[in-house]
Amino acid sequence: MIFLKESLKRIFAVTTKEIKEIVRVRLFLMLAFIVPFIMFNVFSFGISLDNENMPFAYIDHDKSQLSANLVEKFKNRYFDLKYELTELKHAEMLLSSGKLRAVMIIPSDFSKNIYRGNNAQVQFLIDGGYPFRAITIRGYCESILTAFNTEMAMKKYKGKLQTISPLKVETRYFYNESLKSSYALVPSMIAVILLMNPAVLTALAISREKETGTIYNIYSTPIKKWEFLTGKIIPYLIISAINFNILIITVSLLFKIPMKGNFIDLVPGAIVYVLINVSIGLLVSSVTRTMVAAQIVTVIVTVIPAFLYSGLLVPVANLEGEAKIIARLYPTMHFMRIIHGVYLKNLNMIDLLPHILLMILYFVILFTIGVMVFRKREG
Amino acid sequence: MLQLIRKELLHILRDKGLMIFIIYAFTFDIYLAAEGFNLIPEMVSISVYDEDKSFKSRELIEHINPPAFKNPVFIDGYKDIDKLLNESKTVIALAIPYGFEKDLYRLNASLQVLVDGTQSSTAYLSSAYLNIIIQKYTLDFLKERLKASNITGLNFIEARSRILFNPNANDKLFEGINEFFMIITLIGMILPAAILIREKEYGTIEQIMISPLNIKKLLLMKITASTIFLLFLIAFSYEIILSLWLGFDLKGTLLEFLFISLIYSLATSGLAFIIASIAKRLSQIGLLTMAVFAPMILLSGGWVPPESLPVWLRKMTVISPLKHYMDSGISLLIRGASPEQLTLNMLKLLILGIIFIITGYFLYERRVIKG
Repeated sequence: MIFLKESLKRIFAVTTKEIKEIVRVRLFLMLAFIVPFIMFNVFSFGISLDNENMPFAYIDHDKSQLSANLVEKFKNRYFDLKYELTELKHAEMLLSSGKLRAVMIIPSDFSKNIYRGNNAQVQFLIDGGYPFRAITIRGYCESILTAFNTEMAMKKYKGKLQTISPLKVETRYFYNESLKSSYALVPSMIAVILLMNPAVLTALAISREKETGTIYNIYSTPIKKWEFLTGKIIPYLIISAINFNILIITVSLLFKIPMKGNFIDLVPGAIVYVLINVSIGLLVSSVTRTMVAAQIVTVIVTVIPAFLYSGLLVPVANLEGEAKIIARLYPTMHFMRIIHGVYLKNLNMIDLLPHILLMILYFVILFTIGVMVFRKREG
Repeated sequence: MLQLIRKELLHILRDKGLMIFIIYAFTFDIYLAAEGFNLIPEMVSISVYDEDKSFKSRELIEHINPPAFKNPVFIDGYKDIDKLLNESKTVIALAIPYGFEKDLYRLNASLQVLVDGTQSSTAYLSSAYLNIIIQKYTLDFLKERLKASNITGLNFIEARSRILFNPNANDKLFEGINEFFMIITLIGMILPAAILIREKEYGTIEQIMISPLNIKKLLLMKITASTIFLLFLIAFSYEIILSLWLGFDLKGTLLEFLFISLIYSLATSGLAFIIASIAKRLSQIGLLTMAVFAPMILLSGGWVPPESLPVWLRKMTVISPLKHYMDSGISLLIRGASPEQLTLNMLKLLILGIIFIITGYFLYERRVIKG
């Protein structure tokens, strides 16, 4: 018992010292809270915007009632109908300088073909500068055309055919019924920010002592390695806990995204997740020599996996081969599942237990490696 | 003067941590982003519950195949669908109810598509893919039926869509180049900021201030050195990583791109001055740069279409140097625009660059040299 008490005393001493150090550099303290907040808001805001108001123009060689009707269909929130052009060259120039995203070309035999009972064609020229936007715009254009076709056929075959759509498709979006991308993406950003920020901050914890030389004081004290590392972790855990709460409040107040489950069910996962990321920073910190190097290495090991293998941009279910294994090895995927579970699927702690347990295992391994790698002597 | 540039270049090369980061950023990071990021869903994991098990239902399922979808996983029962979606093991599920074939001949069939809405970036496009497959299938069926009952003249307007400049909508090309711009911006700010702050941190700035050296000249040489180094990195990455390793077919010449980048470096150097005047230590540059960088990405138009931004933010994009740089860069490298088409953008970039560098310089002078 007395042994444990001594231990706690030493951990506490390291923690107070670290807190003092953080609080003294006011800029650092400010940045520790401001940077994640800015990043979260900017990325969440950007990621939840849909492609709308795409600058669009058309060339109408037909100039018929039918072609005018078709053009009319492009006056919606997806397109910003800029102008009517007459020359293809002009259109191509505007596309290549990025002033237009798409151009529709209606050929001169357009309405003639339709009235004669043939198929007619319209051409869409789409800017491929941004492929994702190009694919989405092509989707918009083709669905507008399909709707126009159906409408046309309905008019024409009134009475002759029972229906033009013999097959009804009922699409249901699970967990996110209105398919608001922000509902899924904004909470996901919590996982990304909580990965990068604690790790980058903690990366400074040991490298700072190395750079200023105070690490020698530690070498000469009776403190055990695990006690030292635990003491170092605690202040960053507190900062991250505050940040976590700020982000949760931001999600509900600023982004107005409801949480289907309970906040309480989110807490254990969040604690373990932050513990993992703090340990990553600590591990990096104990193998690098300078603060700059520590920060840099941390950014490299956290940013790519955060975006690539977490399920944020590409669903883990779509991944194949090594990527599939890597995604399961990184903790972000598990915390992302917990966040989606609580925010969208109304799962409780029991449902999420496998993810939490895996993350605990992850933390134990990481911390053990940290203790093993950290050297309490020169060389 | 050349001596000064040489000194700064040596300083950069000697900073091992920074060098490792810079080299990683300009090589593997760009490669990884190009190979790894793909926003256009491909090989979407799909499950099919075929309750009907008829000729028509199998015919429909045969249309679901790569590259849009993986080969479907067959399951029995709605319970399994729920389970798979709940555990995020499938992105989309198609349920074909009992009696589908019979209903289809009665022109009154229905299908259920169930999508995991938590995968929102993929959910919309994957369900759109599946809908297009189903629509085409329906159309073929209808044509067949009309032929059988001798109704002719069901005609349609067909879409002939052509994606210009990048016909296959190859996302790799864009993601690689996009990351290239991000890295240029990031290093373009970190590098000069690190150079500017180093003398402050080591205290050698006082030494210089009492020396006969003109401080303005020294700062100019510092910026020149970092710009030379940056342009060298850009050229290296352009030739070796983008062209050679990733095999991109870039339009425009390297010289044109370096020219644009040179003008852009005015703006990034200006921002570096601002960062260096706020930061007290080398280690604070990282966090500060992120705080400046995040809004720049949002306003750049590379990630969020500027047209989709709320009006007040759309207006702000005018002051974002990254936006003009990306506009010109994408036009030059992907769309193959002629230099004349870029003049207006370059002019805006130049004006912004001058404003940033003057503001940054005065801020730095007030806070560091005099303070």
